[in-house]
Amino acid sequence: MGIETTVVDEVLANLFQAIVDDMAAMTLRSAYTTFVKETEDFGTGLITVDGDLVAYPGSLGAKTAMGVPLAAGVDPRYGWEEGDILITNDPYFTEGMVTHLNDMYVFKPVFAGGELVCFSWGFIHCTDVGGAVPGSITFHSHEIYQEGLRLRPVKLYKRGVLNEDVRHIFEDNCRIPVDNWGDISALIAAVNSGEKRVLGLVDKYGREAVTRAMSATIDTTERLARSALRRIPAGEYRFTEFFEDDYVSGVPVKIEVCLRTAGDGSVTLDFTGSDPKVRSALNLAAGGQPHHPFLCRAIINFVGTFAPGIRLNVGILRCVDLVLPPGSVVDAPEPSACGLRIGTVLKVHDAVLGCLAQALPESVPAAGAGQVVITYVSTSDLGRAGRVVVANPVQGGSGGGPAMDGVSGADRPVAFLKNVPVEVLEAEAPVRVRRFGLRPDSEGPGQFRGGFGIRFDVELTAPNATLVMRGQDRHVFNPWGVHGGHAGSNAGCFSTTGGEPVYLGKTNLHRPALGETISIFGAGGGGYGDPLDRDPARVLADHVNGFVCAERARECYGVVLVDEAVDEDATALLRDLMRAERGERGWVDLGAARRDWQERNGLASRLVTEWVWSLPPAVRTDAKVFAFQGLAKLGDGPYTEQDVRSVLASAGGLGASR
Amino acid sequence: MASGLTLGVDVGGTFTDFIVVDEAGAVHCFKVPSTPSRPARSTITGFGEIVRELGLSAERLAAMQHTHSSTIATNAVIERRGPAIGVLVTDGFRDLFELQRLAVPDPLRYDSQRPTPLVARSLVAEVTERMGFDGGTVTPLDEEQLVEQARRLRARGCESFVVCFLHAYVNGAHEAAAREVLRREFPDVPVEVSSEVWPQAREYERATLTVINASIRPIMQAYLDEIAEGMRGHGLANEATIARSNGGMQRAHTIRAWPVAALLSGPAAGVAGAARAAAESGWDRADLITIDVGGTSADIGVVRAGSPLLSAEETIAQMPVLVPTIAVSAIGAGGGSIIWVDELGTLKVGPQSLGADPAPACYGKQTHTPGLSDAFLLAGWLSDEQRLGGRIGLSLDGARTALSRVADRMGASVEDVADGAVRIAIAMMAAEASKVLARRGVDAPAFRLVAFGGAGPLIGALLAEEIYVDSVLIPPTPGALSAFGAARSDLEGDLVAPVYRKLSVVEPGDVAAAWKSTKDRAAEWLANEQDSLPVTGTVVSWSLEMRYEGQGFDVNVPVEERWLVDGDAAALGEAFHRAHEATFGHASRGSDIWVKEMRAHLVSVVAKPESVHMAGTGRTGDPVLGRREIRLAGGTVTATVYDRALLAAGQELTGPAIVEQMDTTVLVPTGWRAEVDPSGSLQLHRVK
Repeated sequence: MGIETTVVDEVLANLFQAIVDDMAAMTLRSAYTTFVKETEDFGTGLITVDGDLVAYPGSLGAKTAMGVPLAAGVDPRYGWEEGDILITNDPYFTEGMVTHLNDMYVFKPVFAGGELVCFSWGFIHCTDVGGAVPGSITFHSHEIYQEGLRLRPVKLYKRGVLNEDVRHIFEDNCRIPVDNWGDISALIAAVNSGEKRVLGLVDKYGREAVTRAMSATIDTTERLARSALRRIPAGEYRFTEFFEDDYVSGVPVKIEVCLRTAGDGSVTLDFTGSDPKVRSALNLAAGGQPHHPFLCRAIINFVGTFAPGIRLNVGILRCVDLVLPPGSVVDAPEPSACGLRIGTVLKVHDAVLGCLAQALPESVPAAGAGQVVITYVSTSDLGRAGRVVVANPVQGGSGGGPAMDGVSGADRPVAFLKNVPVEVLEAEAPVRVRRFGLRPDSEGPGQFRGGFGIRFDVELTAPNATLVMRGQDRHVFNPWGVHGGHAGSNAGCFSTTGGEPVYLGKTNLHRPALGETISIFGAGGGGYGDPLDRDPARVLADHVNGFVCAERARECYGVVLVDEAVDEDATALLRDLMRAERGERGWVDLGAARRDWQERNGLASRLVTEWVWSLPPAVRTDAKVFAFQGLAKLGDGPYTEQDVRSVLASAGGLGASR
Repeated sequence: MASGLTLGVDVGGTFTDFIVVDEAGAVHCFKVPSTPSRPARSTITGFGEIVRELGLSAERLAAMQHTHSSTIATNAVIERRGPAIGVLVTDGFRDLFELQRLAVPDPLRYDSQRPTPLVARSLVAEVTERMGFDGGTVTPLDEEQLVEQARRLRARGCESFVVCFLHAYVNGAHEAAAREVLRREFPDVPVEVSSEVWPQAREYERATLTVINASIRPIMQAYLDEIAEGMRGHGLANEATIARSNGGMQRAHTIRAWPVAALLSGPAAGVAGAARAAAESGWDRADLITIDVGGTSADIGVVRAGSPLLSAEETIAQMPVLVPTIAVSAIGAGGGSIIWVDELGTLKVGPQSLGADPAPACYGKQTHTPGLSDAFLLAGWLSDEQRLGGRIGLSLDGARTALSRVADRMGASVEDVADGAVRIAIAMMAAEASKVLARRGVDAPAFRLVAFGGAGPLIGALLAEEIYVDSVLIPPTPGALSAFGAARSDLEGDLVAPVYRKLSVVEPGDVAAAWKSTKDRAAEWLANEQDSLPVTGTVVSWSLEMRYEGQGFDVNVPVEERWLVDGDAAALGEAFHRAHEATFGHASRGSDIWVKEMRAHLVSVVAKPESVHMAGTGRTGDPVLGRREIRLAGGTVTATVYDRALLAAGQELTGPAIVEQMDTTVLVPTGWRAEVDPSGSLQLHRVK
């Protein structure tokens, strides 16, 4: 290839990036809702006629959707004409392109001289699309029909003319039609601008050069990604993550993954052994897609870390092959509810991170909080449709890394989320924020400790308001630590009215009494490396800053502090003693609760999984719950093979029913 | 009032630039090396040389107005110099500086983290008190606890207090009370409160601004004291005025209390200078993109209808700057940007830069790493016979050797690599320029470009082609445009007042009251600032920050003063609908409207002569220096080379041409023509 071609490709790659960044900026600027404006849950892009993402915004917007399979949005069967704009939010019709109903995707074809050049694309998280609860998402949903309006791909604009019927259907099926339509309008302005800008490039460089550069941009990213992924030594690495429960049955949900690579820059993630879909909204409707980014978060971040400056596009995803058991929680069948699939994305991220931590110990951090509680305030007053205002994403800390402490209050897979300033929030919603800060002593100790979790204390100041807090997890199991680092602390949710705080559990929707304060705690990130190897000066700094108390410094880090100074001799002695006294420790610290569960249920979990997957699809979900609830009746375990066999035998007709 | 001499100074990292505009409007430009350890010194000694060179009389010096811009405050923040600040916040919000706005800069990297907190957690203390968003007291201030906490901060080494309480922008009573108490208990410790520094909602942003103000104050005060004394020593009678981040200036003695207003004055003065140069070239109320290409970066600004675009979303060292600041976006593409090949064999430019040391290979200090300037030299745009800044000779051999290392890796010729690198750099700048317009929400039918800085005039026309612009202005002193902007600046102030009410329920009296108090503050500010300046007239522009209920952002809506006086909700609402429609293509006339803030932008125009074409060279003669082969668009053409100092007003020339001057070189590509306008600027126009 001549230098002329590579230079033009590079020039155009820069300009493609500018176009999608501009589209993102337009969306951000003119969207209505805080969800878009403050938390930036949206994306824009340019995609080839085959549905391959060419460019995705670098600094603005949600990172989760980078690389979603977009072929379902550009299908020739839609009979594309100039000026068309397609809209859809249907996960099942689009086979995993859209992953929950709140995400509205729009596509606009770019025609030059009657020929299709590419598509201009964007999506936006609509704050509310109807359904059972304000904000549409609750873990209680088990069918997608409960989660709001469902639009299969339909032309919102046909040859430049707005289809008012579609608009009305959309507006009549959400709680905040004006705000939502404002968001959609912003997105439409953005895809229109994308179209115009691509046409400018076609004008200047020619259609062929533009489409060739699009392919070249993707290829370049793919090659850089492979080069980064070649760092992973050939082999098979396994890790298992759990939701401590599925919100409805009390039984944990297993995500099992095996990372396989030949060391050639290609990676297979095999989810065989994961649980079937659940009867709550945690399901990921991946549509059987072999390269779905929601299951590749850790790989994408790995590439981002080791291929600095890489352009974001589908090229990264081409390096990953997924093996997804159909009907599993990571490849849920229609009509499973999937509103809360971000929870599963976080768990899958942590599971793959666990594989990478074994494959290449000094490349990735320990587990972060693994949960993010998206909070909303909903009011229904003034005889109007009511309001839904996003309050804050309550996150935990990220895990400690090979050379740095974890970040406080931001877990890696969702570290793009922003908070809403208290002064803005209180003016917009009937709330008083009593605290938005960090939880001292919540970190997973390590040579590089985990980040601290957030504590969000909020009081409602109107009687007709409801607090929505979706995405709670890690109330029981902890974010794991690695290479000698300890697990981070749990998340939690409490209510205080005058006296002592009362544990609220993992409620999704709460209507607090006036004067009642709700406290949401984010988990602490796991630690990396032996806390006894942590530089005492860093322990002291954490202590002086009020993050780590003196007792904890002594017990977890072996650092003796006297009057805000390190007692060097006492510290050396104590550390020697602690090293001598403690037993052999594995490469990962899963935390006491998970260890305990594993001891009692480890064997049972393996046997039940085998059994469940031997059953017809329709009964698997119930069968798993039946098995664990049956075991629980036998006592606390550990359960033997015989225990398990007896419970499974009692299932009787379950296996035969269909 | 008659205008005397005016001086503009810009203290940059490497050079201190001076522009003197004399009584007849002639522009004189000087440059001396900066003295970073004593930043005022280069100004004072440099000006001494100018006094001698221009032979300025005591009488003329006494009447001289002088405005100073600099990167002193900027650097102080970046380097985190300044005293240890202790911050007192509302109970529950000690982690303001730790959490910032939560997000990390690069969420796709496992090693990305937020910038180190501006104030360590050990120096932040919580105080029991609470205001509501409506300004009502929820919990009274606990003064005893305040003192206790302040003592703790003192014990931890705090040298200066900052108080930032929630909702203080709407009711600052608790902050004011806290200041009283602290002053009484700690008479020697400076106290700064957020509601006075900038009363606007957003606690993290306002607290950051207040801390920055407190931390740069001692540094700026020392600098201003030295300037005052030094300039007095040169016989200047007028007080110094200081360039502000909003493109205007104000008196040194008021900047002492509020130095944050001058935080980003250097780059702001550059964009303001570009706007001024365009206006003086007869481009009235022009829509401009400005590009300043220096050694390490290209800085892009926007001028809308003649006024530089102000933004409340600028950042410094990844920290937000809430006060209205001329919006400047930087991209890592300048003369020193490294030309390299990535592992896949793709040619790349920047973002790493060779800087001033070791500098690109053409400067002779090294020959292994090529910079963009090497590509300019190889393309013949620069010449090895030309003396940059009249001093340094360029080495074509050095440039060729360094570029050949890249060319060998690519299996291409050095010429192709040089061409490719320039094209990629221009594409990067074009990408950034379009991003700037999109992010700022600016659209205009036709922009024009002002190109300045060391390399801006070289790439200006080619960049214009890339972004569909047909006219480019090269100001008379492209290498000292910030100093020019300072010399030509007016008194400009910004005020903000909270409203935070729904338009449908707001009482006309409330709007009028907010207007009245802002008007009074404006009058007071103007009276104080205008003291010794030859002001010819003052304009106050009013605007409101408004949004539809539920909307996540504000639209700045210019409004007529009488609507505020009358509290005319209908007129204000209609103005908002119209502005919304104009910006976003749709309005929602049935929706409730929130009024967030009232803003006033004050401009007092200071008397100054019109600048006239190039003064003081004293040379005349044939401007044509010769001809040379240059590379353009992949081919070789013969360009006529001109000496800019010898070009007369009205003179026209046709591309391909090169115009050389003391501190920069202008490229007029094929398909462009250029003419010298009466103010001395070079206007480049695309030939249709």
